[in-house]
Amino acid sequence: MSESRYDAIVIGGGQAGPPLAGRLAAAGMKVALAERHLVGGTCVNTGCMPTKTMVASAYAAHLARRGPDFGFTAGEVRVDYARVKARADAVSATNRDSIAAWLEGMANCTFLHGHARLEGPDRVRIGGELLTAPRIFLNVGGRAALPELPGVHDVPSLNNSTLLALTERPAHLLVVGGSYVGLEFAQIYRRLGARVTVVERNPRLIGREDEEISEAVRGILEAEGITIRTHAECIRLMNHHEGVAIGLDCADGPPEVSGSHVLLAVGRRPNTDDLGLEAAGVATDKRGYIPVDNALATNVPGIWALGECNGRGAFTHTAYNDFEIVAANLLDGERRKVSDRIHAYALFVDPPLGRVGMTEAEARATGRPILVSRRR
Amino acid sequence: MTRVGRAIEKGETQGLMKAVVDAETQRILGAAILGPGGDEAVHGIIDMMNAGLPYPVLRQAVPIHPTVSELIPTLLGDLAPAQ
Repeated sequence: MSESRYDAIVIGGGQAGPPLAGRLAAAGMKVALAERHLVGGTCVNTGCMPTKTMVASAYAAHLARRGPDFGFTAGEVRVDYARVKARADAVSATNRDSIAAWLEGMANCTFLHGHARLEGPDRVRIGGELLTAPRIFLNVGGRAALPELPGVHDVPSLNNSTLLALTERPAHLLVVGGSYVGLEFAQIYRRLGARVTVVERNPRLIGREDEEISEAVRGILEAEGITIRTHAECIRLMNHHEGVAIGLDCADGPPEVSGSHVLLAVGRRPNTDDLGLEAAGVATDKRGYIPVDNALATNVPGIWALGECNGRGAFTHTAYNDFEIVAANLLDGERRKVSDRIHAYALFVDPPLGRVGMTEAEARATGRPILVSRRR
Repeated sequence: MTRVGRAIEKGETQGLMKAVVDAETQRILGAAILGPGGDEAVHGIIDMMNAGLPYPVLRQAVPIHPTVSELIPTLLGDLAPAQ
């Protein structure tokens, strides 16, 4: 049996993988990086890049409709969805191709296309090839979770990936989940001309934020004609002559909404279920995430986990910071820690919400004396 | 943001900004900026928190007018005990 020895194996071409391979290879290690689908991960292919490209198209259309507010008219705004999609696809493809070319040309690095599976704490099978290395870096990412809602297996539904792959704009998009992913798509498609209804089981949108932020975001979206149904209990999916229907028992409003398509934006799950973790002895928590210490090391010496699969951050910037921490500690003699990271993120509705650190509610919960200021 | 000059000029006055500070250590605990450029403007506070400096340092900064970020020192000047 063929067996190739490496100094390091990186599994996954998402945003932490290629830069880590680059640093390790530049340090003289013999490196292999495996990717089963598309390099760039969620961000480049089905996340930040295509969606923010579409946010820009949606903003331009929105502003054109508001022409009279600024002293001009642009006539009737017509959206050519195929061209909106082509623009997003091109932005993704350009970046993806750039990453692939970087990996293909990287000295000391072998770029492998195929699904990787651990067969031991120092061995990985990729296709028919067995690779061994004393250092293995898991950067396998995550994907949209399919919620166990009644009817979920009976009706066609969309997630972030499949919605972006549609070649025609939905006529009426139902969005289950009033959090970050769902709200960004809701506003994009509304501004691109679709009817949009958001269904959220909690009393308010983006429940992690302070209530006044949730309410302000709700007001912004409703002002654009997005229907928002919070307090939606017993959400269930049904086929409908229009496409799909959602049953909900809300405090007020009709008990059913129907639309042409439904997007399920209710959380994510890590891509750790077909990775052979048990063969290597790598522990996972009950949701499938790989617990790591402050240096991103798993419970198995010689195996690290970076990016969304470690449950310490579901963002490109946290994944990239994971790479920076691992590289600094392994190659630069530093002792950087994940716990030093100050949590920051944004909700890219328009206008966007920039966030850092604690909410007021979280600060109050610490019991410390706090000062608050707000400006409307 | 109906009292934020740049937001008014842009015709985009929806949103608000808020900050939370530890009353004893004077360290910024968190912030939210919902409004035009909020994703960019919040970096003034992100950088401040990473620098680990007390909030009066940022309150005394001289920001560029007219921007959304220029309201950050104003915001920190209006801090009051949580009700």
